[in-house]
Amino acid sequence: MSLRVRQLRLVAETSAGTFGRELEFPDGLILIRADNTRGKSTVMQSIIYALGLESMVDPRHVVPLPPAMTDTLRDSKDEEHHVSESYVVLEIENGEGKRLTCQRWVAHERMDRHLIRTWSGGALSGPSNAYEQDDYFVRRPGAAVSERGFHHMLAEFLKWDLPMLARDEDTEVPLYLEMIFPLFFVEQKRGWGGIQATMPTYGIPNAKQRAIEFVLDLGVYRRARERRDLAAEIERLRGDYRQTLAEFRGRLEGTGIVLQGLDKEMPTSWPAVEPTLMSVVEENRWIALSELLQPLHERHRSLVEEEVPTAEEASRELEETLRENERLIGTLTAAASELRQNIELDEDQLASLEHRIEALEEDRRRYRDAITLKDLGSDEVSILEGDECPACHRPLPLALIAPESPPPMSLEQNIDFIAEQIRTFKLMSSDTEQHRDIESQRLAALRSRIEEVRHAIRAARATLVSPSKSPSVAAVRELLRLEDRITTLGEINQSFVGLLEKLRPIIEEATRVRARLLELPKERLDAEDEAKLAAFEPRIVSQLKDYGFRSFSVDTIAISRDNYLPTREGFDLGFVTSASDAIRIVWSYLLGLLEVSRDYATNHPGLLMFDEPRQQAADPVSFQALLCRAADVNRFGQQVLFATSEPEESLHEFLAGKDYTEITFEGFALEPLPKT
Amino acid sequence: MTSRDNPSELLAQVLERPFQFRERPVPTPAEYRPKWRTALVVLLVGACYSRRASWHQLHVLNWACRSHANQAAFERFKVGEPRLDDAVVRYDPALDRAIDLALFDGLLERRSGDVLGLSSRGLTALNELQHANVLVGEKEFFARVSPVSQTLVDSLVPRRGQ
Repeated sequence: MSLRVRQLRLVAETSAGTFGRELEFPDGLILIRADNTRGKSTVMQSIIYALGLESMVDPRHVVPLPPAMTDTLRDSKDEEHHVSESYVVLEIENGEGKRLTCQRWVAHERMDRHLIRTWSGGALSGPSNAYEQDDYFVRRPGAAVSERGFHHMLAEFLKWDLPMLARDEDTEVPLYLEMIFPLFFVEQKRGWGGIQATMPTYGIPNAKQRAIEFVLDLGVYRRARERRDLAAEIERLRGDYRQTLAEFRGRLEGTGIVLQGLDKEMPTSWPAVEPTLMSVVEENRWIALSELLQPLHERHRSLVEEEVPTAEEASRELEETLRENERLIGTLTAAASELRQNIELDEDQLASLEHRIEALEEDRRRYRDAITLKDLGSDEVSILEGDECPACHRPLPLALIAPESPPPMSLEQNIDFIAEQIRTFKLMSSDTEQHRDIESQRLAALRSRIEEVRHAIRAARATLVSPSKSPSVAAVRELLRLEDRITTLGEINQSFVGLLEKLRPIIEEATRVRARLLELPKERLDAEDEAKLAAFEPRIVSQLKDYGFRSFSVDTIAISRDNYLPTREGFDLGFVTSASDAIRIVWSYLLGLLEVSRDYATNHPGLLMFDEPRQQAADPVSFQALLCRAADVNRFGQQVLFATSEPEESLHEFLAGKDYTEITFEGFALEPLPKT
Repeated sequence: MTSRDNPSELLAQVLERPFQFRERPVPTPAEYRPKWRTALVVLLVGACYSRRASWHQLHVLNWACRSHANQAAFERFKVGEPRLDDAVVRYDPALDRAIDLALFDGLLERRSGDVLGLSSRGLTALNELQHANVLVGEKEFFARVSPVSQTLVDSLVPRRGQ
């Protein structure tokens, strides 16, 4: 989780030769001092550029470097030279002591600025051919997630497991590095406007909070993520349930058997009443399949045991049955035609409900548009601004055409009303569907019964005209038919047992996942999160005291548990402080984050870079206090880079007795390099 | 016995107090909402040839974009394959009001005769609407059929005197 910058090389090729600069950075406090403000900012910006992070300073696709690197270089004699080729090379080190060298071109005929070339070692401090060379792309879609994206690789190098954030309902994006680095790097022009002042959010809700949560490694994010994962798991189980059930229902089609006790949607627990298969018998009597099977088995047994009667033996009974069956066929056919009509009615009803729901969905979509149009400020879509009639300057009517009374609903009321209607119609639709399905099964059962009766009639007639000693066709037929039916129903029953065996674990697993979801702590922040924030708070307060914060008593300052920014009695500090106190807040917040990482496990890289932290607004006393506090990093092996134009003598005086590294350069950042 | 158990006493109690009747607001289709329809008018003009439209063109296009069925019918007509049972173009008085609002709001300007065009403010609004996440279905339809010329509209629904 750690990052150190180790060495930086700037190179610009011109017609007057090669210009450049090479800097080394040890651990501890490093002061990059130059009178020429552009020179030291060039160093700071080069580091950012080499890491492909310039959009955290400026969202536009511009190189954040001065003309000396991009276009025209002015030498010490004030002569201008055209820059034909230039690049920056940065060597960095991670927590395991591994080095990585990154080269990015600024001006070059062929080398694209979206390309960063890397070497798997300290190519500046210890050049070697043994390092692996790789090219990555940056500031292009996918740079944060693709294998070839530089930021994807950099995050891996830093051992950062970047969280995925929901941009909207459908899109998840990683927490981009450009959103994290503003907590370690402050740019001189706009960076001091506030904490995370220049951070791009790319339309991600609460991006600033997410970045702080990540840097402090607060559990709140992990829990939100866990919650989402569990919800997704339940959704997956629901899908499994639906599919398994739908497959089984498909098998039942046309069998006259209905599954009872299992909804199309997964229940929250296994149904209290054990699901059963129901079969329709006769007109409208439903019995469980098991009950149906039993008498069939008995009948089968008795048929097998008895000797097959001859035609003569069977004839008396058969005549009776034949008459009965002929009557029955009429009744059954009439019932079937009535059922068919019922099903058609259901189909009609379903079609009209579907049509209605479609129209309502369309209206709802338009209402959403209407609300968006209303909510869009005048800086976006400016149509009928201020809800005023442009002709008469009275409030706009709620509708273009509507009777005076009763008045039309407001947009919000109306969209709620539509949602309510859609819910009702969907409910009706699912009821109707269920009814239709059951009626269809009844019809199927009825049809197979009609078929059966017809066969029985034919068999009876055949038996009655056959020689009296021959075996009864009707009795043989009944036996075969019975066997057939027992096999079919037995198979369905078997697959029903299989269905229950499949569904039970799905429902039980969903119950377990749901329980885990409920077990997740309701509070956003757990004890460890609280401990980190509680350690962070006094570090801010004590620094503000040291730096001479004047706007109000610093003891009233606390860290918000919502956005983790300093607040005073619940109010953001941004609005209630002077400009110089605002800078003091940024100092103490960012240094405070670095300090907290010494005692707690966080994702802070232990690196801080301030470009011109003094600014005009802060007095020397506060600046001295900041330098002294920052000099503490020496003891913890962290790294703080300050670029400053403070006179050398003042710095020596401020930091008397403290350890620090001073890098001073006179004149320009780039100086002529000896020809090699 | 409390009044709760005695319906007539309860009723008397209720009636003793002053009470008032209030009209309940009624639902209205979203297409009659002024902002929605005025935004649509901007898109309608934007879909016409040279971003100018006659009153007649606006009504036909307004009818065309109202439903999927109408959209499909209009598209069939545009490619010269109309069906006999395709819907009949209907005029919508709400559109006239929205056109008036758009004119007063400075989104539209009167050009010659009954031809309306987008003002510079209207053009900005059109651009903003194109980029905002609103009226997506309508915009997709217009993208498929635009630019719609007066000739096309006239051949679908001849104006009087033609």
